[in-house]
Formats: sequence, C-alpha cells, structure tokens
Amino acid sequence: MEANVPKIKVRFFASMREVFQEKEREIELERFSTIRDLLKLLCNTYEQRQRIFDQSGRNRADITILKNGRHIQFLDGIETRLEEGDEIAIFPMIYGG
Amino acid sequence: MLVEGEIKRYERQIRIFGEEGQKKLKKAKVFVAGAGGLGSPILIYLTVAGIGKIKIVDHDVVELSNLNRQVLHWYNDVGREKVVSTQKKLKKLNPNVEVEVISKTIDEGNIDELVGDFDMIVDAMDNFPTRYLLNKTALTKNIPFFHGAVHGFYGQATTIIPGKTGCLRCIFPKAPLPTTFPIVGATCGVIGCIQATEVIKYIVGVGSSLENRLLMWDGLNSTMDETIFERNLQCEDCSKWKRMFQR
Repeated sequence: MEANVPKIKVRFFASMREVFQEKEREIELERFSTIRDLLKLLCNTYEQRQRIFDQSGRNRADITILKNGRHIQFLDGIETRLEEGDEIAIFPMIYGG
Repeated sequence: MLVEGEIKRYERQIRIFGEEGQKKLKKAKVFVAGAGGLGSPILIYLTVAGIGKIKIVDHDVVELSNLNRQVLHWYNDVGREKVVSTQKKLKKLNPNVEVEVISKTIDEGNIDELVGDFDMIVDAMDNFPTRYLLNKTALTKNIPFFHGAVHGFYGQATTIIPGKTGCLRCIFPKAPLPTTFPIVGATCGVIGCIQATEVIKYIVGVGSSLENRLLMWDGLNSTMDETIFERNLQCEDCSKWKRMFQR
C-alpha cells in the first residue's frame, strides 16, 4: 500500500509573491521532507534561489520562514521536518520606518 | 474630566466609545520612538484623537530626502531637528495634547529612563536593533508595544502584549543588515494609521487587536493579509514571561 503523502500549504507574502508569482500553494511532499526540501522544490529559477539561499546554501537570514506560526530558527532551522497540514509562511524582513 | 470644547472636538468619536472612552484617551501617556515616515501619521492621528500626553524621541534633522513620506516635516523645516518640527505641528493640530520631545538617540543606557512611566510604546523606528530595545523595554515594564515597519509598497504591523502574545524577537530573531530602504510615502500612511488605530482601540478597550497576528500590506497588489505567530519558548527576550506563565 502506498504511504500517506503529507500535504502542506505554503503562503508567500510581500515581495515573495513577486518572486514566486503566487500567493499560496498546496504541495505534496515525500515523507520526512524538511524545510530545505521544500525550498529546493519551490526555487526553480536563479532569482528564486538567490532570494532564498545564501552563498553557503543556508536559508537567508533576512527571509522569515514560519512553520505554523513559529520561526524555524526556534525549531530545527532549515532541517525542520514537515508534516501533514503544516502551514509555512515565507516573507522578507522589512525594517523601514 | 472633559471640558466643553473637547466634547465638541471629539464628538464624532465619542459617538463610538462614549465620553468614558475619550477620558481614557485623555489620561493615556504614549511613547513614540521616531518622528519620521511612520511617526508622522502615528503622531498626527494620536494627537487629533486627544491622547493626553505624547513623548517623542528622535535624534535626526529633517533632510530634503525625507519629504516624500515624513508629512509632519515641510520644506521650510529642512535642517531643523525633527522633534522641534514635530512639536510645532502637533501643538497647532491640537493644543490640548501635551507633547514632550527629546532629541536623542535611543540606546541601551537611556531607554529605561526615556520611556519612564509611559503606558505603551509605539514603534516608528527605521532599524531592528532599536526595535529590539523597545521590545525588551516593553516586556520589562509590562506595557504593550505597537510594531510597524515599511519597505517600498510593503508594510507590516502587529501588537505585542507582554505575557499574552509572542514578542518581536519571537517573529524576527535576528536583525537584517542595515541599509537605506526604498519607500513610497503612502505606505507609511497605511501602516502608521494601522498602528494609531491599534493604540486607540487598546486604550479605549474596543475591538480586537493584532495580537499574535502579523498584518501585511501589499500596496503593489492592494491586498492586506495576515499570518499568525506564536510565542517561542526559546526566545531570549520574552522567556521571562514564559516562565511566569508556565508556573
């Protein structure tokens, strides 16, 4: 029997909507997928990769990623596991005033 | 106690929250950090709403490049301290409001004294290191912190209540590198007005606020969205509150 495939929802905000050309997407992932797997799946263009990953292949510090309302830095960072029903929010950190 | 002129001046909002609400506004003491892009709409609307006392801290001088967004400052103010320009305008807008201004850079050594016994802190800063100081001070003093930030056509706002919501560090654990930012003045208007609305509602005690919700304005597509956030157990700034609530 085929294993259950976790389905998650990704929501993009602010300039991330321009970068990814969408507001939100539901994605089916392989079991035991992580935020890193998700980001790799999402980033299909050079610009997308530039905006999400730094030169060392980590997620950029100025892009906020929340999993179910919690910053991934307080979880397992880019290695945070994803499960059925998770909601991921991705947005740039803005600081002007 | 409201005097006759005040009842007439605030009549349209007294219809919403009554004279009792107006008295609460008159009793309130609001600390606003920054008198620039966000500070301008925040201060204008808090002043006309009849806040009793407003303290404003900003260390900058008005520059020509500020004038596309910092609507409290006009062409003739270029070269003047922002707090001086601000006080002059606010006094003309509403002489009933006590406006105290301080031309200083907020830092770790003076923030506690600057905020003093004020009831709440409004974020109109342009950098995260100072925002973290404001966040921490609000947590220490157990007073609400009204966050706002802008960039280009985008803006965000949330209301932080110590012990009840996540704090600024829970959503943004690390400051981005500081650079100058592009900005359309109207974006400051949108976000500053949302912050002023949050402050007024909190004081009067009406509606529901942006607690554990980060509201995000996308002016490019004219959409307003929000994402929820939670208190983070490992947050270095509000862990004190977590310990208290876990007891």
